[in-house]
Amino acid sequence: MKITYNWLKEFIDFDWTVKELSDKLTFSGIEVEAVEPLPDGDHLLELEVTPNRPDCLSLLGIARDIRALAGGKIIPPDCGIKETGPAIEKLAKLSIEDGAGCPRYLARVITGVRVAESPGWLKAKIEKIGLRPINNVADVTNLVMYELGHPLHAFDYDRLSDHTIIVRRAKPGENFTTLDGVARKLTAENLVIADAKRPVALAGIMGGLESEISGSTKNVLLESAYFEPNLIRQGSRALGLKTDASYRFERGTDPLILKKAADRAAKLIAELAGGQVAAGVLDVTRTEFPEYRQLTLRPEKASSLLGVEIPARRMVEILNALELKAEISGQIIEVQVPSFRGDIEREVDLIEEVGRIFGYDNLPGDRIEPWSVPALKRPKDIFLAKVSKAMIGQGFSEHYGLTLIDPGNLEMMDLSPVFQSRPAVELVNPISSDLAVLRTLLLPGLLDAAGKNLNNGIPNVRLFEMGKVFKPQQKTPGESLHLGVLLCGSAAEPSWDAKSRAVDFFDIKGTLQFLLDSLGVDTPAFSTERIAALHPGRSALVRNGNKILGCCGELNHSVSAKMGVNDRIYYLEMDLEILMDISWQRQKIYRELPKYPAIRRDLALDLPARTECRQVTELIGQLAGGELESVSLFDLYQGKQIEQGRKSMAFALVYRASDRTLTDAEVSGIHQKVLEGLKGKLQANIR
Amino acid sequence: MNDKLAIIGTEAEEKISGCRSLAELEALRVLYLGRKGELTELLKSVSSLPSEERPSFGAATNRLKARIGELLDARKSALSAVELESRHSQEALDFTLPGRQSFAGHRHPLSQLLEEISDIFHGMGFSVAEGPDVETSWNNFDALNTPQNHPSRDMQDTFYLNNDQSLLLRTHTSPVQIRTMLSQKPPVRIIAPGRCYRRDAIDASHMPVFQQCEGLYVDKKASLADLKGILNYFAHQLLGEKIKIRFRPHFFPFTEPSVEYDFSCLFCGGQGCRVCKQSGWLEISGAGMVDPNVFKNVGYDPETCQGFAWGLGLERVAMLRYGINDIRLFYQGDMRFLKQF
Repeated sequence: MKITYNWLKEFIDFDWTVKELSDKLTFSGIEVEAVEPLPDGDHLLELEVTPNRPDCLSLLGIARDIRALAGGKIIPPDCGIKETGPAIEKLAKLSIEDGAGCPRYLARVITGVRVAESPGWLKAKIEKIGLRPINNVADVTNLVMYELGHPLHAFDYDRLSDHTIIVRRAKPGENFTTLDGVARKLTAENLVIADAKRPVALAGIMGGLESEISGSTKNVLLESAYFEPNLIRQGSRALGLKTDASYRFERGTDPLILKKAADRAAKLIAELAGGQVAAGVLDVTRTEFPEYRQLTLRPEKASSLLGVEIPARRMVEILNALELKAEISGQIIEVQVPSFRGDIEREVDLIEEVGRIFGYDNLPGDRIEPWSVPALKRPKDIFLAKVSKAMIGQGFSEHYGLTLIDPGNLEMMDLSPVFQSRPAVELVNPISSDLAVLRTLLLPGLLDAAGKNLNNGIPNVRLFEMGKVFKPQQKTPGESLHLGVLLCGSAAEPSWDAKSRAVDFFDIKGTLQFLLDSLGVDTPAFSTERIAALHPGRSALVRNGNKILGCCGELNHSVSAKMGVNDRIYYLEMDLEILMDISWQRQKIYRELPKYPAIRRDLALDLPARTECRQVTELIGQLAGGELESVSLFDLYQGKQIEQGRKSMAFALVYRASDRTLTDAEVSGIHQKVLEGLKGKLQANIR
Repeated sequence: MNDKLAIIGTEAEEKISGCRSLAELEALRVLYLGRKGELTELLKSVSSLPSEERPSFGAATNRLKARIGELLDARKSALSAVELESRHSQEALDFTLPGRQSFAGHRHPLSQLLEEISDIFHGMGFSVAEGPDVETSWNNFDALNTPQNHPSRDMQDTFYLNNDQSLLLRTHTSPVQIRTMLSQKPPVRIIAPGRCYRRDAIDASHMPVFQQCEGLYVDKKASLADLKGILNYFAHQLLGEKIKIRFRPHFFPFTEPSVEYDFSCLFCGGQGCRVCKQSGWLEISGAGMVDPNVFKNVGYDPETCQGFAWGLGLERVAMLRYGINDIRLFYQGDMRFLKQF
């Protein structure tokens, strides 16, 4: 809401500068968002009034807050009226059909007006706050709305069929053209003001074009009503029509200000447009509103909640300055809350009033209740920290992908049979089609990020994400935690003296092995599996015992190509919750360091090309028995130097006994057995 | 014989001092002291001397042997130093060539921030609580005193998963407070980090997905002043002891009294600058005393317990701290961005 400094001064005498005023208001609950100097020396203040304070959508309301802060006297607007016209009952009729939607309606009639441009002072006043002057009747209703916070509406009395006002729900399909010239089809959800024949206004939102005050208007019916806030809010939202009036009504206006507001406006209309105010008002009340709500405030509770001792007398002073009639009564304070403060319903609401006027700057801010023991860290957070440390240690940076993704990508990004990408949880009201479902995998987000990096000329992408994925389920979607790792480009940072090779499957596999090793989890088993989005010859399912952890491999080129990526992408996705369970079952236990020396024997084999490395190492393990400490591949060759259909593999075998020094002869014996076994079982030639 | 010794001695002295390399020096060692060296040969001829001269000749030979040994050692260490020096100078590198590095991984700035925040609150006795991203309307709104007709429940602002609007993507991490209070009795001290969702179109300052880390403290006497103390301590730990904090009264359905809290500007120290729009203060988030209606909804008695909750947007704090001007950067996985943290 916009007001001006000088206008506010008409309502209360205070001697703050504009800057002081802005600060004081901001720190007592009405935020001054902007101050703009005006050419005439006045200042425009833009206020953010919170939805619980409709009373402050008026100069009078703000003046009350200022009085609580600064003292001073409120100068209420003059509502003195001369009723010189005929009795209103002879001029108009009023009935309320929907008493829930309109608990109270009051009308005045002014006859014989001359509608014209408003005088300069009035035009200037409303122009300064950004309103467009219309005429001396409409401008008065706007002025009074700003003065008292109560929206009014003026009808052209002669356009009201049968001079009748009926407050009712619209009939379904009823047509109505609002002041802004828009023809609207109404529903039974809309509360309308109607005359004997048709709607003449959307109650609390906007008047109708046909009954608008115009140059030819002679007589005016002035509406001052109280509408049910929720109904106005719903109506305004349904029609997409927000007005100064609906803004106030939907927040809750003062049901007891109706006559005062009507009097003030009628007085000004008679003064500015001439005419006579008809005697009396039409006033239908369907719900009685008490003048005051009775509440009690325990000073002790207030001090406890605010954390500062405020004397009861000070509390009473604050409340009274806000026109909340407060009186100390023994240990408590009795408070009478007037009707314009609909937001104050409970003791705690009174405590807030005391607190904000007392000033939160006056609360101690250096006090902390001492707690002796820090909280425990959750095992899950400890686990996730380990995972992220292992990934960062291997040169991967952490990515946060959006949880909302494009369902169009899911078909091709499927990691079945390990992780299904579909179905996904759909939003009823997405903002766009590319953010329409909850992710089922981390792959789409990571691949998208890889594509962007590659486009930016960054060839070496190493990203990981630990995040939630979602799966539709009977009632509420299932949420689980995944790890996604994406790798492409070179295997090492570019260097000036060495050419680095491109990453391949064994880099992503090694990444996984390093991670599991750092978590104390046994090396997993990799098995061939056709995984939808991965290269059929370069993908593997990752398993620990009988639990499937996830999958890894080279991305199927058709998948990456669809995302505009031509580079080879290596990818790993795992269920972190399963991994977490396994890692919790593992406890690291120290194994004593060897006491006796080891003997290394190398073994170069010529094997059929299809032989898997694991077959060889497993067989060596079986053949060598307990004295074999480790076997590792150190060379692999396939090419011209070797017969077609064959390959050469070289292994280092380390022999060691835990209880004695092995002799050369002993090792040779075992080694010989290994050689023979390999020859026989794997058609291996010893090179 | 003694003359012979003297000649050898003089000759050795000259040769050793004139020696220019370690290899040459080694040859001299062999020449004089080796198994077939001159002095060894000389000692062998001792038997040709009369028996009374033998001891004194032997002693003199051994003295000379020792002396030559000393000379050889001294020369060796001198020559070694020279040789090392020359090797070092030959091996000198252009140390301005780039060092070899392995790939450096970087933790997401929001993860780093969250870890710092968790550590600070752990120290104050707050534990981490979590809840699902998909929430019920009751946990996200009703229980938090946000009635059916509240504007934030609109289809325009909140993502729903079903037409009756009973399931949604949480709009804040406050439902974690509800879940926690439903499952335990006071005292409660938690921070609740996690992703939240609002139906905002993506631009430099809005994302439909963002992260919060809210806090809740409920006990017998937890007060608004305690909230100020805790946020003050938090600001000092996270951003430095010069940071000041202030409250502005505000309105939220789930707290009463409600405030917004500001930190003094990290960039200008409160003098006023471009970042704080000359105000000296930065708006951080909302906070307040838990509304009695919220307590009733979780079965707490507002007469016997009281407490406070505060909000915190991770992106907001990270953006202020690092001077990031576009919230989208957090979710793009741009290596050039991530590498800066």
